[in-house]
Amino acid sequence: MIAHFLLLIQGEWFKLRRRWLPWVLLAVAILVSQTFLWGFYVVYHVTDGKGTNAFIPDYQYQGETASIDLTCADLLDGRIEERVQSLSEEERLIVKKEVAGWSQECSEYVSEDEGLFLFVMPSSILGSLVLMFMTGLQFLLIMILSASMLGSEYGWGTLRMALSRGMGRWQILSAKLVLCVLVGAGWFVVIALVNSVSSVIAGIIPPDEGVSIIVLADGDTWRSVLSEGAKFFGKAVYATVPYIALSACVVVLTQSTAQGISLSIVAYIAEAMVVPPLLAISERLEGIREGLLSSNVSEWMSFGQTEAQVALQGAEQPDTTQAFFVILAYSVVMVGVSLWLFQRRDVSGARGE
Amino acid sequence: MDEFVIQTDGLTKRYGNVLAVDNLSMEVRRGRVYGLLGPNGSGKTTTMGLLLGLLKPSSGTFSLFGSSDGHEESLRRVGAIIESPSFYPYLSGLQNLKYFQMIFGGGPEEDLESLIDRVGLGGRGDDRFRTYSLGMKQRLGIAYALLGDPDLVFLDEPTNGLDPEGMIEVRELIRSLGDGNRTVLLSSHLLHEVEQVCDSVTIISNGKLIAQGEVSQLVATAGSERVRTKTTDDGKARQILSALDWVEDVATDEDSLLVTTPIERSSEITEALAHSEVYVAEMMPVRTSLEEYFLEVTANAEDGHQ
Repeated sequence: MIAHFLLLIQGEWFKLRRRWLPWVLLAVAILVSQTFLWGFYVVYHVTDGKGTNAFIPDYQYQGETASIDLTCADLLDGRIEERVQSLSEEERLIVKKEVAGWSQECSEYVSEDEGLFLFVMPSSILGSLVLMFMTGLQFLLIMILSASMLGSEYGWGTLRMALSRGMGRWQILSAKLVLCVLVGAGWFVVIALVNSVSSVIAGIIPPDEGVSIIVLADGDTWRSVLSEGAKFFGKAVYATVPYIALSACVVVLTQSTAQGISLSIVAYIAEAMVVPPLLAISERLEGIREGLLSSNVSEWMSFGQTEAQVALQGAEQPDTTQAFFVILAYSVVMVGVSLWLFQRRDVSGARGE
Repeated sequence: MDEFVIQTDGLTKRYGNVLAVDNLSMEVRRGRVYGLLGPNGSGKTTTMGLLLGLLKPSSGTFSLFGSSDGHEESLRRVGAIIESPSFYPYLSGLQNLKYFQMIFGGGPEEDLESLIDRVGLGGRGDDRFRTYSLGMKQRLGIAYALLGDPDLVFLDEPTNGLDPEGMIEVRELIRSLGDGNRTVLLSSHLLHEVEQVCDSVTIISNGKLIAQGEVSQLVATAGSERVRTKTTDDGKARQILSALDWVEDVATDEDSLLVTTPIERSSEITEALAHSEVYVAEMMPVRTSLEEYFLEVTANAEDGHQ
């Protein structure tokens, strides 16, 4: 049975690698990733090494008993509470109110080191990929691939060719899902390799002292970054599973590539961008927010808000363990629904999409 | 060895208020070319879809190779092409077959090339499927159905889109497939083709089975036997033959007479005419064709349905 399943995955790859779509999507991913990388490279040099900071002038507060200086870094690193300890209760409230006004601008803050991380190895290997995940692009691309892999079969009427020879419904769908996860992982590897090459080029032209120092970083730095990178890689692959399952579920329901892609993207955008602000209207709905896939994926990928942002915006982010289980639950439910529907429904001829 | 490769019992498929297959019970014996006939929309393709596990029956049961359990295992002994052949348009004909061969468990590439040659696609196997004509697609579909040398082959309108030469080739191919232990279930609306190729037929109309059996037996039981004859004086011959009590009817058909009577009484016709100095120039028996039989039984079924 395992051998048969592996044959199905091999067959899926045989077909997929001869299609334009996965290569076009990979090209888009590489293009975006390289735009991030080279964009930061240009900005770094244009701003003379200051990065893309939306620098907020240091804030000085002269209290009755003490005076303090605060920066965005204090806010983003969650040090505000600690820094205002020397002030009176009344003064703390004044300072916190002031600091709250910076939160939006500070969220765009990128320190000098962070400005480098996107185009200087070793951090650049995954740097732009992290940004792609933060923007959700990687999820959108993998959903398009997943919907197309399954939806095209309905469109061409080819699904019944394999099913009529006893290939097994759940086996066929599972093979497609597994291959989609593997292809997503392959994309990450390719993007990381292209990033590495670009970083070397960025280090060569024009020669930059700051860059070369970091490229020649010591073994510990490399080990640490690569270990973090491997962790990120694993997390990223895991985080794509519910999105692959979501689009598969929609395609099995609609039996159409176009509807599968569009409805999956609408669901993704609604869940990630429309629902959270609506839930923020009432405190009672905050619990629901913790169960949203996008919030949990954010937390799982460590894109969550800093403690300072949490304190300022009042939103409680789910913890990583909870995020793991929520992602697992979404994946299991959506794969389960897809398999159940796929197993039960009639498979008709070509739909001509 | 199973005697029946297909058995259905009360097989029913309903789409809302429409009964596509209505309580169908049929049996197909091993080692034959079996025809599934019926007017458009009678449920032939739906029946095949049900047997191939593509459609879920509303009620009833069926078995392939005597086994109703483990249907997927049975289906691995089946080759099928239903409705129009559907393949991956961006792959070549050979790559399409290679993909299916791969997931069916593999095999040598030479098998694919010989299949391509066998169905008359030699030289075009490396072209993309999307560039194929309907006839070429049909040929590739037949090659796919034969992939892995299956014990049971479903062919749904296999000669659609083929030129006359191609139709003859495919007809001969189907005939040869039915030799030995392999069984072919052929659905076609080309009754002449079915009559030439099939040993047995099942006729369905409005999803219901209306006749089943050997082609020769079905045709023999249908209609009256007739004799077509040309004489030296057709007018006089008509008068003479109409007076005979064992002649049911005498009709003029173009430039000959059509005498409805048992064929074995042909010699008595010549005798009766010669007695009156009318001589037979030509005489030949007219047998009921499958087409006539089909039209008769489906019309009856249609009347009954209304």
